[in-house]
Amino acid sequence: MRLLNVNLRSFLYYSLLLVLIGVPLFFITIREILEQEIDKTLHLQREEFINHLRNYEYLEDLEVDLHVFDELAYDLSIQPASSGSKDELYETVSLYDSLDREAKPYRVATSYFIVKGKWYKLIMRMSLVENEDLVLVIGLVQTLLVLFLLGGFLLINRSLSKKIWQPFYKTLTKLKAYELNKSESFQYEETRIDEFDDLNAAIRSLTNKNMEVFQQQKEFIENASHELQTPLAILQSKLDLLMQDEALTEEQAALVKDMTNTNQRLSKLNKSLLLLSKIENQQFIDKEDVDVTQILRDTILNYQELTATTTPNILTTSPFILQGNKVLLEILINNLVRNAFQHTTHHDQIKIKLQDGTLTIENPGEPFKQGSEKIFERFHKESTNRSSTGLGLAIVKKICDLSGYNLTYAYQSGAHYFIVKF
Amino acid sequence: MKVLIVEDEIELAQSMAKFLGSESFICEQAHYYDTALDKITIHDYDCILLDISLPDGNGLLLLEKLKALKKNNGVIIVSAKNSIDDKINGLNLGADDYLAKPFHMAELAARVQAVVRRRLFNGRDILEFNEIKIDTAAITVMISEKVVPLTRKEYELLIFLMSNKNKVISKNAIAEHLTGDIAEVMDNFDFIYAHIKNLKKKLADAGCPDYIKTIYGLGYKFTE
Repeated sequence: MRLLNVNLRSFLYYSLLLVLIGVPLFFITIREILEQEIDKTLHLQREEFINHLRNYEYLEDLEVDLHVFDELAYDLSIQPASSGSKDELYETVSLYDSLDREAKPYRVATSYFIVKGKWYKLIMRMSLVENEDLVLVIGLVQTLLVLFLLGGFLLINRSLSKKIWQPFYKTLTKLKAYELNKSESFQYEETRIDEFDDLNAAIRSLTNKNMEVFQQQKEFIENASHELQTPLAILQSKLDLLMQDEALTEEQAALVKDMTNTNQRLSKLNKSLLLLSKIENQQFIDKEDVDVTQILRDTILNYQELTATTTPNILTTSPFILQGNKVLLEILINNLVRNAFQHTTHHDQIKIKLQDGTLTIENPGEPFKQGSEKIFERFHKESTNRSSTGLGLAIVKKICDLSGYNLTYAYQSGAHYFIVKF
Repeated sequence: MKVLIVEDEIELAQSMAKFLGSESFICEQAHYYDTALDKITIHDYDCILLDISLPDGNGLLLLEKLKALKKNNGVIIVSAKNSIDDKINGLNLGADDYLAKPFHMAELAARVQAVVRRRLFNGRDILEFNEIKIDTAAITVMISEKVVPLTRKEYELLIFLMSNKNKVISKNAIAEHLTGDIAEVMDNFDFIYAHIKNLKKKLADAGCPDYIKTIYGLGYKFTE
């Protein structure tokens, strides 16, 4: 969910709450105000009526007139009373309306007055707006208000998310595309909004720091490599000199041989570890159009020549051009092909197929004793061959992971299958 | 032929000098950038073995100096970094070859000889040993003036052995040499034995004495 929508949702909940509280509140207040207003009017009318009455007190038959008046007037009733008080009573009463033929609310004012020494009860009434009508109107008005509010929110929200958040999305896009090993500083434009400028500045300082650390790490790897390769080279050179000694006995030659092999193993291990960390540090990122078929052909030819074996069945299609890093692809294919040549029981039964962007390398062999789950792990070794580094397939896996290729392994009817979907 | 070894690791430099010295090379050593600069300014060398990381300067700068001095010598970069960038930079600056540490002395000797041959004979050079004659431009091997057809690996193997006459070459060195740059060496060396056997047979069939001797389980030696 987008941040703005979270905002919007809170706004909407709040306005809904306001409406829910607002409708009864409005209803009560408006009714109260209306009643007060009507009461005031009734009171004034009563005062006026009684004042008029005082003016006609000289009439002989005023009593009869009052009776007639009571009969004729619709909103008025004058009844002789035995006693009375100066209080005025106001109340809301539901009365049957003969015109509408239904009960309607009325405000009724009951008071008493004296004419010619006689008490009269004066009841005046005034029709009230019906409650249902009032609620309906208020509800309608409020709903309209909410609808406009909502529509307005949505519209404003949409334009806001486009305008105000634009710098944020720009920053996000740049961050996503940012690659540490391109060693470029994080570039941004001033947005004139403090938060975004702060964010961009923080990102720049973070990426700069990361770049620095990355650079140091790279240098460390290079230095470590240098520090290790040189003693290895010295050792190798001394062994090469030692084996020139004419006076070497057979036993001594065997010792030199073992040392040479061990040193070779050490060199290979160091080289593979270095390669692995270089791949992990994404130091092979330059991409170009690479003809995978050509690499495959060259690699296979090399191993054929090396092992002086008959051609394995190569089922290759026309050139397969792939956007990728050439060095990584060469290493990937080399390691898989070497693996097949190294572990096959029959060289002429290696089958290599490249079709529809899928490379399948098949070689006959015994199933793995320790299961196939761990074959891509570092230093996992199936063979007892001590010179194997146990890193070849780990490197293959790492390359596939980083390049987005799908690497799978299967064992079927006496053969290992390594499948790479580019 | 004169070779300058620019290498800050004295032990390694001495080994290189000793190994190459027993061939027909006269080796001089420079363990610092400054001494190397002095030497290349004053003397002429057939081949310079150049370590890039020197304590007091970058070996690549020496390459630029050599270019400025218009020296016509071969240069092989010997580096522990094995970085593609360094390799490309070095070769662009006029280096002839790039050798990553650690390496076998036999490999070094073969590379130095190849560079020197290319320089001296403008690429069209003939490698000779008694009745064996190799034309490296045409990639043909002749024994007593008769062409012997060899596979590519057998041909590479023969040149490698001949470049290290009278030297014991370990199977490791041969394996690495034959495998190439990108490819990784296979774990067992049976294939070397197969290639040696085939090569020996082809040479013998062409009337060549058996020059390739097996030295215990250690390796092989090309000798009279």
